Amino acid sequence: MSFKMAATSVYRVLACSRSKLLTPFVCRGVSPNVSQIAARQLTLISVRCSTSFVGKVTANELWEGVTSVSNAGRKRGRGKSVKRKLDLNRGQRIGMGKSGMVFPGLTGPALVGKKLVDIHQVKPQEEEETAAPVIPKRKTLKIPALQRGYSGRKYPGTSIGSPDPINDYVFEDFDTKVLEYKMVSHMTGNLGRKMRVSTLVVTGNKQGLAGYAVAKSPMGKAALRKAKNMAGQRLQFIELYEGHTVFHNFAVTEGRTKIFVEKMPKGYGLDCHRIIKTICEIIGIQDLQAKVEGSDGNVQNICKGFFRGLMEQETHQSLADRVKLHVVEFRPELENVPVVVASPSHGEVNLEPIKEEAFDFDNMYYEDGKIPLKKAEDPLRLHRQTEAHWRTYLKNNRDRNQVQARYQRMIYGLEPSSEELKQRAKPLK
Amino acid sequence: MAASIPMINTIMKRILILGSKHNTGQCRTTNLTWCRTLMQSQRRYQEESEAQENSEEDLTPKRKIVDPETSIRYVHSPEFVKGYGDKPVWFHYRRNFKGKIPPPTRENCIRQGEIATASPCPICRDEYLVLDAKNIKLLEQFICPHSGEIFDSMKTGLCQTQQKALTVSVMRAQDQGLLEMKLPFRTYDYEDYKS
Amino acid sequence: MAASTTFRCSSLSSACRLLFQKQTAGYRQLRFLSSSSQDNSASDAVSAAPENEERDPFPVFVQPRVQELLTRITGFDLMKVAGPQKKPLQRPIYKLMTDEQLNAELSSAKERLQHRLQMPPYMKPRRPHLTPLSVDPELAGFDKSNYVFVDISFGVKDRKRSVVIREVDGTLRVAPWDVKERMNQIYNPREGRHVVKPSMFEEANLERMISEKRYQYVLDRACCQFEPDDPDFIRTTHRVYNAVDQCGDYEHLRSTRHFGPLAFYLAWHSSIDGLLVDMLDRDKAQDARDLVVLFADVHPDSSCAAAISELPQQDDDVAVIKTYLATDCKNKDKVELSLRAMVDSQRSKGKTQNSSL
Repeated sequence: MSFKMAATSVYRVLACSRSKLLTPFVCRGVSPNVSQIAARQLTLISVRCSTSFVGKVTANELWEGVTSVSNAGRKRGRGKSVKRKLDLNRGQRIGMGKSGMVFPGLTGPALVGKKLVDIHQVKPQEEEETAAPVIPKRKTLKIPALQRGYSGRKYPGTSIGSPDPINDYVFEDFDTKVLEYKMVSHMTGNLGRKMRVSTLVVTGNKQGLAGYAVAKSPMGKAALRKAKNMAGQRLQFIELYEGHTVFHNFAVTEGRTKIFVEKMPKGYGLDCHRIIKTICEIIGIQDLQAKVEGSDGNVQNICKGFFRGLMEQETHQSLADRVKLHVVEFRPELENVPVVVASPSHGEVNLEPIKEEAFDFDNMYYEDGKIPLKKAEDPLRLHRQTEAHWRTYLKNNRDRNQVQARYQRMIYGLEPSSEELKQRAKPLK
Repeated sequence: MAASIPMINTIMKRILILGSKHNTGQCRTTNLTWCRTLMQSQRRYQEESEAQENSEEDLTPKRKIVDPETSIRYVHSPEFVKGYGDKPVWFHYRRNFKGKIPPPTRENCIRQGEIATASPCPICRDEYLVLDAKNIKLLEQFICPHSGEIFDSMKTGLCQTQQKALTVSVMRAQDQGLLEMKLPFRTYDYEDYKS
Repeated sequence: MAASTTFRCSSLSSACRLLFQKQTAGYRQLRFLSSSSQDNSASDAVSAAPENEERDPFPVFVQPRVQELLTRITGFDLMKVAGPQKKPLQRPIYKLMTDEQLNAELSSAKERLQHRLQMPPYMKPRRPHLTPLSVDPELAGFDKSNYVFVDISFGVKDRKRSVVIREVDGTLRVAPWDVKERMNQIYNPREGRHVVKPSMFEEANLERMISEKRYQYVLDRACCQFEPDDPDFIRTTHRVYNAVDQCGDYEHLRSTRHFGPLAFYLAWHSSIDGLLVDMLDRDKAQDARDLVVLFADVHPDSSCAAAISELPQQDDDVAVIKTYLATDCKNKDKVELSLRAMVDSQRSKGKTQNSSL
C-alpha cells in the first residue's frame, strides 16, 4: 500500500465514525511500511481496544456530565454556581478554517467519482462569501453614560422610576434612586446559605417631599420595587430655605457615622458624599456642603442621619417665635443691607437685645457646643511635597501670574501666535 | 472598498521614547519613558491598495467646521431646545474616569480636524456649538449668574482648548459690551479736580 | 552738545524716581495709540456749545447748594442702591435683633450707602498741551523712538503725576493725555480700567448699547475707564444723557450716582422740560421745584432766576414751577398740562384725607 493509500484508509475509517470531535491524523516523514502498520494499528485500536470516550460520546452528553445536577442535589441547593453549557461550535463552519484547507474524507468527500481528492487549499475570497454571519456576543445592552449609576453596571446611583400608583394617587414628578443594593445571606438548616437582595432606595419630587426605605427579596428587581413603593408610603416634607438649601448648619450622628452639614449660598452646588448628593437632588436641595466622618461606608446610617438632621431643622420663623426677635439677614451682594427674614408671628418683639457673644448663628445648632474643626487647605499642597515637585510646578506654570494678562494681549492682538512662540523658544544660532 | 467590511476601530499607540531628545511638550517629568498617546478614532481599517484609492477622501476633515453666525442661529433654534432642553449644554454630560476624584480635563478632543476621543467634551461633540464673542446665549451658559465668574472646566467638563477659547470669547464680548463685567465702584476726590 | 537730559519740570518733587520707556515704532501702529489731538478735536466737535467753551461747569457743579439740590433730586431707593451685585459666593450672616436695633442698622446702612451715590464730576473737556517744555535741537536723533519719563514716586496721585516725552527731534514736552493715562494704568493699575480703550466706547458699539437701554452699565464703565475731563468720557456720558432725555427713561437712572450729572447736563443745556414733565407725572412736586431752582442757579443771569428771587414764598412748589413756565420754558403746553394734572391729583388726595379724618 502506498503512503497515500494508507493515509486515505485511515481517514476513511475515522470519517465513518459519528463523533464530531476529530483531529486529522497525518503521517509525515514515515516510511510506507511503518505507515501501513500504523494504519492497521489505528484501525485496530479504534475498533477493538478503545475504552476512551473519544469518538463515542457527543458534545451534548459531555456537557451534561459536567453541568447537570440531580434532583436530590437541587433540593439541597447544589448547582447554583454551575455555568451553563456552551456551544463551542457556534458560528463555526465545520471543516473550514482560516487557511481554507480541504482535507478529503474529513471536510469533504474523499472520492469524487473515481478520482481521489487531494489535500488542497480553497481561495479565501470564496471562503468569506460563504462564511456564516458573526453573531454578536453582547448579552445585555450598553447603558448610556447619563443613566449610569455611581460605577459600572451596578444599581447604586441609578434611577428606577416613580412609585406605583396607590388607588387614585399617582406619584407625579417623583423620581426614585437606588442608594444601596447588596446581596445578604443567612444560613438555613436545609438549603444552607440562602441569598437575598437588600436595597435602600430614596424617592422624592424635588420640591421638599421625600422618603426612603429598605426592602429585601430573593430577586433584585422585586426588592427594588418593594423598596420604591415602601418609600412612597413613607414620605416626609422637608422645609427648605428659599427652595435651594437648608436653614442652618447642623451635625448629626447615626451610629458611628457623623455628618456635618453647612448651608451654602446660591450657585455653590452640592459638595457632598455621593449618597447625600443623590438625596439632595431628590429632595430639591441645590447648594450644600456636607462632610461624612467615621463610618462613611454605612449607606443606611448616612441616609437615616441626614433625613433626621433635615427634619430636626429649625426654620427662621420658628427661631423668631422662640426667641421673640427679628431674624435679620445680611448679604454681601446687597451691600450688607439688613433684610428681615422672619419676625415673631404675633408681633411681640422683645425689648432687650440678645448678647452678641451668646448668639452665633453659624455654630448654634451643634450639640454640646462642639464646633467642627476647619483646617486651612493649601491648594498647592501636592506641588509642595518636595523641591522637585515645586520646580516642576513652576516650570509647567510659567505664566501662573500672567494668565489674565496673556488673554488680554490676545484680545488686543499683541500676543504672538503659537508658531512664533515656538520659533522664539528655539536656541539662537 | 465595497468588498471590505468597514470596522470602526480605536487604535491606541503609545510611543515609547527612552531618554529622548524629542520635543516632549506633553511630558511632565524629565525622566519619562513614555510620551503621549495618539488616538485615532473612527478610521476605517483598510487595505493598503484601498488607502491609496481613498487618499483624496481622507484629506477632507471629518468634523464639520461651522461659522459663528450659523452657531448663533442654531442656539436660538427649536432643535437646540429639543436637544438640550432648558439646561446648559454641559449639564447632560458625564465624564468617564476611574475612581471618585475626577482628574483635570483633557488638553484637546479634536486632533487634526477630527474627534480623537470616545467621549468628547460638551462643545467639541456638537460641531454647531462655536464659542464666539457674538454667541452670547452660549457664552452665558458657562458664566455663573450669581458670581459673574466663568465656571471651572472641572464643573463643565470642557477640554482645555475649549476652556481657553471660552475665556477669550468672554473677554472679547466684555470688551465690546455684549456681556457685562463686574465693575468696581470708583470713588472721586473732588479736590483733585479743583486745580 | 550739552546732554540736557535733566528736564526742567516744575511739578516734579525733589525726591522723585524716574522711569523711562521707549515708545517703539511698532507700538504706534496699534489702535490705542491714536493721537490725542485727533481725539480732542472730534470730541470737541461733539460737545461744542458756545456756553461750554466759555464757562467751566465744574465750579458751578461743586457749589454746595447745587450739590444739595442734585442729591435731593436723585432720591434714595435703598434696595436699588444696594444691589443686586455680582460678588464671589459668600454665605449670608444672620442676627437676632430688636426693633430698636433693626432701625439703627437700617439708618446706618443708609448712611453707609450714601457714598454709592457720589456723583462723577461734571467737567469740560481738557485741552491738549501745546507748548513744549524745552526745545533742544542739538539732541535730535538720539534714538529712533521717543522716550517717555514717568514719575513713579509713592503717594503721587495719577492726575498730578509727571509724564514727559523727549521726542526724536529733541523736543521735551508734557506727554499727551492718552500717553499719560496709559502710563498711569501701567504703573498704578486700577481695577476696571484697561490700558487700551475698550471697543465698547466706539460709535457702533455705543449706539447698540444705548438702543438696548443699558445706560447704567455704560456710565459705570465710563467712570471706571476714563477721567471726568476726558473727551471720550464726556462724549459717552452726553450721548447717554441725550438718549435718556429723548426716550424719557429717567427712571433707569433715578436713585443712581448718574442722575445728578444727568440733571445738571439738562440744566446746563437749558432742556429740563422732559425731566420736569416726568417728575410732575410721578407727583414729585418737590423734585420738580428743586430742578427749576437748579436751572436758576446754573443760569443766574436768566429771567427765570430773577423771577424766582423775587418770589415772596420760595417754598411753594407750584409757584416756582409757574414762574419757570412763564419765563424760560420751551415746551409750555406739555409742562402746563402735567402741572395741572399733578395739582388736581394732589387736591383730590387732600380731599380724601380730609374726608377720612
